[in-house]
Amino acid sequence: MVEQVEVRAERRGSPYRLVAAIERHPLLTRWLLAGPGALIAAMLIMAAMPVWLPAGVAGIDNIVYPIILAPLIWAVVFMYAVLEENLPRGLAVAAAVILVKGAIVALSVTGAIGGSGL
Amino acid sequence: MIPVSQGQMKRLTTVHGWSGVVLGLLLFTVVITGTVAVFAHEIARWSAGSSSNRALDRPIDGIVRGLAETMPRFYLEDTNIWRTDAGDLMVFFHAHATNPETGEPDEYGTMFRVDPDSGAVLARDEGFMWHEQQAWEPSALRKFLVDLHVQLYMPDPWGLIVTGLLGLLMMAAAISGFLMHRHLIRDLFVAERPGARLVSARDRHVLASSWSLPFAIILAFTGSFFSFAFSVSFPIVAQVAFGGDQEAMAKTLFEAPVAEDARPVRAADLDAIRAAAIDEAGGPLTFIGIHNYGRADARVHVWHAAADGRLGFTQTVFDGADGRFLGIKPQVGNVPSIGNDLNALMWPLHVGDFAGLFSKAIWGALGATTCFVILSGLRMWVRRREAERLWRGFGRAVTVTAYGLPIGMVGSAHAFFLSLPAGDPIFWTPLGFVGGALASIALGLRAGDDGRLAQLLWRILSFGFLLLPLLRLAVGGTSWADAIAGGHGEVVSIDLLLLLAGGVMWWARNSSGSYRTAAAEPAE
Repeated sequence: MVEQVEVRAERRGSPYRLVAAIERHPLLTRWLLAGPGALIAAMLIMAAMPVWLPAGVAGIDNIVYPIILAPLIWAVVFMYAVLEENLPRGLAVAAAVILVKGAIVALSVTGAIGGSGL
Repeated sequence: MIPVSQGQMKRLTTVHGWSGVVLGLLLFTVVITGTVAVFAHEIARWSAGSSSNRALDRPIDGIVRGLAETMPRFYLEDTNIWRTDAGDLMVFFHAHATNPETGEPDEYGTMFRVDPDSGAVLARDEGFMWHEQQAWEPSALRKFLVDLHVQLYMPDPWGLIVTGLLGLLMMAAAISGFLMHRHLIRDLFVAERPGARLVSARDRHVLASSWSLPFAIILAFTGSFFSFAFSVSFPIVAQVAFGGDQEAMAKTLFEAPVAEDARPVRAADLDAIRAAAIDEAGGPLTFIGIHNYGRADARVHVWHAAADGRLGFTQTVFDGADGRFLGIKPQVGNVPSIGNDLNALMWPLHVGDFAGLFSKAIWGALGATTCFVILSGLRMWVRRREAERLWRGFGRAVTVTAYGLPIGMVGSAHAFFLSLPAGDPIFWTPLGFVGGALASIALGLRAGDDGRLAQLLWRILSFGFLLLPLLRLAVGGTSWADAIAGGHGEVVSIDLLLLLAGGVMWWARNSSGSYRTAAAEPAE
């Protein structure tokens, strides 16, 4: 399997090289994914929630829900990182979540988009 | 059973085992102190020398009005009124100033300790009073045990971050344990296989963990919520939601600021407000906060303990000038919402304070079961690796922690009572814990055999339990007769529990068969 990926990586270019590198170090990749990866992804998912969650009648739901749900969000991301059989796919999902949610948080903090609390 | 592949099961086993081994002893510290902290109010009343239900159920208007007249206007910016577990009325007139020691905004003013019956001032202190614990905390023992649980006696915010991470770790161990269960229902009734074999220990671990699994997840979830909510989550979420606009945030989450009107007026009658507050919200009053006492724009916030049929506390708001009832204030936001209801659920779920002593007792028992689960898991890990010297050393650390922590906690209680008559309990109580813990560690380093070490620590712990009620009475604590006459059942109950625990441990020590197993495998 690893050999096949490495052969494809040599023929086709960098994404396959990345997959090959992941396949060569599955334990380290899993630790990074379930450790700092899950923590960063969970924090960004929580931080981005006020932007898309409705604020509700009291104007607080978009703030209270993320704060309350933060430990559960981490648990879901962490268990996904542990249980995902396809490690490159798991890494791609985590990277996509971190990039998208990170962009939303960055845009919100710089004022480009407003949180629904505003 | 949830289907998992062989690879997934292997990874779940790794997570379950290593999450316990890496931080399991710290997690045990948080859980065992949390189990005791569930009874924080009861411990405070038991240890304070005299007990009270803390309700603001007696006239206070004359007392507060008289004290306020002696205060400079500056100190009337905020006034806090409450009763301690020892029954004294506390009144703290204060304003806000930068604390030169911390460089942070802080509350500076004059704090009075008053006899609620006669109105006599028992003590008067001035300064940044929340840092002067001896002025307002009647039970240094309660404060120490709760602080140890909440932030492991580490500085802010690191203690909260560490306990929050331990909560996440506990959740990882509980969820991975749940997914690893092949027969969840059958495991609820698993019988221990005979003999002191590894499978017997495993049966006990599985039985205890199966019953405490939902509780462990709830505790871990709510615990990490409380640790992270204000130290990490809230600042991040507020920044995103309000873009750094502090005024908009305060208006939305707390209360719209009252239009300033500094005209001096006669303050509303606090006793009339007390009566009206009970009519509106039910539940005994536990705390009153007054903003701008004696001014036309004054506001009075009254906190009530949970009324019948409610889970959380209630807050009523009154006009501080004419005493008008302005409404019931949710904990978060200004109108009722699901977000506020969810937030209000977190505290009773964490401490089990929703059906009086009955629910607290269940939470305490499940907390003790969780302690057993943590220790039995660690002992199994060690037994599987007994051939390796490193893991035998870790096994010794488990034994020392399993006994040393309770010995430290009992030591803190002894130090508290010994320093109560003349010393400074705030200073000596933590030192009592350190003394007990260090003595256990020293014995652990010297002992040659794990079984004999456990035997010695077991004996020390049983003596510690047995001596505590006697020491409490010897230093002038509430007598059983006074406690029964005053309706303070917690004094007699805790004394009896300690005597029972010490007695049963002593009996188990002399009962050869049961003791041998208990001493050799204290954690299983």
